[in-house]
Amino acid sequence: MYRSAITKIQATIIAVIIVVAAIIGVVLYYQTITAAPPKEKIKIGYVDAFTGVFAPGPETWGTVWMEILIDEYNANGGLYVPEYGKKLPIELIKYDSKSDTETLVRLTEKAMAEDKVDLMFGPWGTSQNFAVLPLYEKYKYPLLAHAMGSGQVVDLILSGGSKWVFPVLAQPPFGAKYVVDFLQWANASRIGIIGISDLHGIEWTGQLVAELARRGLSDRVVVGPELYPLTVTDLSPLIKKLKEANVDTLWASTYPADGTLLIRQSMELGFSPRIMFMGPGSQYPAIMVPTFGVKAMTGIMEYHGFEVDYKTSPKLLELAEKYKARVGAYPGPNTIAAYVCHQVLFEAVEKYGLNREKIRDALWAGESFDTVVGPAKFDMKNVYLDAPGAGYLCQWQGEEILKVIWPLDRASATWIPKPAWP
Amino acid sequence: MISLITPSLFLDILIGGLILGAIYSVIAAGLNLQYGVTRMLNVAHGDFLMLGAYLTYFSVTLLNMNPFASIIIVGPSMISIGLLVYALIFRRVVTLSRTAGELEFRSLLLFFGLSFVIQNLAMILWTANYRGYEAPTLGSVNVLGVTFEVNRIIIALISILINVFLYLFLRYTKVGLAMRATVDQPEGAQIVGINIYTIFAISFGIGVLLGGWSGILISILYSAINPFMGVPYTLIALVLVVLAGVGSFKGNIVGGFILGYLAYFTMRVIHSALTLVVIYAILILILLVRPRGLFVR
Repeated sequence: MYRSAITKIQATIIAVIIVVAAIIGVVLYYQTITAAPPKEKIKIGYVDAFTGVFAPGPETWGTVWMEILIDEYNANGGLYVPEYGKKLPIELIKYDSKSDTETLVRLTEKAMAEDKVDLMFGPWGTSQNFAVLPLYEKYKYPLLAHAMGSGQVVDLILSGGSKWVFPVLAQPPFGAKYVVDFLQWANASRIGIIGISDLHGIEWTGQLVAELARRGLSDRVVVGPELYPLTVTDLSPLIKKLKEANVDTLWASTYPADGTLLIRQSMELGFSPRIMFMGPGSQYPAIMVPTFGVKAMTGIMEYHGFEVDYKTSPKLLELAEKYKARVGAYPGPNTIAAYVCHQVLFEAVEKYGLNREKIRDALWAGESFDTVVGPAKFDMKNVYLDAPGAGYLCQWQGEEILKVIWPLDRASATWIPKPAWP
Repeated sequence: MISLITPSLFLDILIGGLILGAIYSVIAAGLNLQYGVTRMLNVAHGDFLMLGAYLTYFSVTLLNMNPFASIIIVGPSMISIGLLVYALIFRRVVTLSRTAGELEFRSLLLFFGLSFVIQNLAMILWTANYRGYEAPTLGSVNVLGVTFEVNRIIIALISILINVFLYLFLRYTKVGLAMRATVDQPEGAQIVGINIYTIFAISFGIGVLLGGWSGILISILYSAINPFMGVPYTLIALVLVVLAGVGSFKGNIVGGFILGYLAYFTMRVIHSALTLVVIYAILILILLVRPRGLFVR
């Protein structure tokens, strides 16, 4: 018999030490791989048309508001991220699509796949949102589509074809209900429907006609819907048609160029219907006030799925002043949608961190977040951001900041029939 | 739905189409002149129109000028810009190109680049925001029960006058005759002592001037001046040049009226959504019958 090198007790101690060391090693390794990597800042990708034919859109709509929002957060130390237990400054990484859809798609993919940004801000314009929608689905980024109006996207979402897109504005099928509610209330009897021949005009005029038909009001439409080309240089043939048909209510889906043309030619041809809806072309004080003056604009009504009166709260007015300091004029009543929806996104980050699936689930479930206009939550049955302002209708009433006149229980002023042109 | 054409509707179409046609023809006049004389297809034409609109905007808002009178500022500025651009960019291309086809191709690429440069320079200088000024509103005039806007009538008259001056200039001045000779027989023109390089420079300058002048008139009608507003006007001008025939100044006027009448009639009587369909269908039809345009010699 020989004596063993170690006793049983020694062997047991060694075994225990090895097991404990292994457990500690596994735990440490697990902690290392699961702990959040050090992070200095939050990167947000924003690809939009900063040059090219679409550039006036983002410039007056989204970019200013996004930068104001980020400046406000950064001035307070940044955005709180729970997994790091601290605030991180926000960096906005901007890429210029040059108004080219192919470039937009390519750069959006670059921001997501190569730069690996934490979040994305969506582009301006219905067609541009359409183009990048598949990328947001593929790379799993929530797309808060703040400047898009499309029944097709509504159908896509309702049919389960999209899980990452969150339309912000009251979409045409839903927004048209507000408009027709108003038209019935105001007793619109002879309606003319015209608009620009692009997705915006087609969707809005189409849904308006459909909603009027659903309520048995189709016989009130005496002109239209007539869509004119983007390159229109003379609207007098249409205006004369509207005048001859004694139209008392005009619905015009316009952009600024054709919007100013419509106003100027209506003034000169003496066409002044009692109810005159224009939008979003006539909503921008930066162009309408110096061109026509607030007196001439008085009575013109606006729709775009989300509208506010900036004078209804000190914070809103402060924001409007900040916008004016940057742009030189007060914002249109609809543009604030870009600020509000990204406020929702930031609030969601502060609660759920940078886990985009958790953010998506919270938004999709309709969780409410505090915003400058009040509580806001996504209603994915009606597919819009349910917040004070959604579906509201505004009217120019003698000043640069427009009044909310519909719905009645949220109105900041009483609707007035459009007076004759000055 | 096609409306019944009453006498007043007929009168409306007759005058309305004329007004619109006159505006179209002046938009295209500069491009047609440049292309006809120099064989350089200026696809930046709409961008020069945009510069004219901005200069009008600044003349009105900073100098309190009447927009119609802003030609005092816009005219010399645009012709100087035109001559400068020609001297800096195109003169060398003209002298180095051995054939008209080579010049056409090289200059087309340059004009594409120039278009982006002008647009983005304008954006850097004046931002992409829309700008507008309070244009004089002169109301309407009633002609046998049909109303027309006085502003548009004035603009149409100015457009017709510009075309008439251009015609007289080309018909009766030495420089104009030299230009026409260059259009018809570039080699022959050189043989008889015409300095075609000077003629190219003058044509280019006048073309840019006409683009800027169109910008004045367009800015009075619209108030959405922005760096990218010129693109649709380049398209209108190109359609008209193709329809009229390259270098045909008579064709430019008649073609303008054809386009004007087609657009006005379709919007007024048929359906506004069909405006472009009708215009392009007729354009294709004309090109099938006369592939080189209506009035080319």
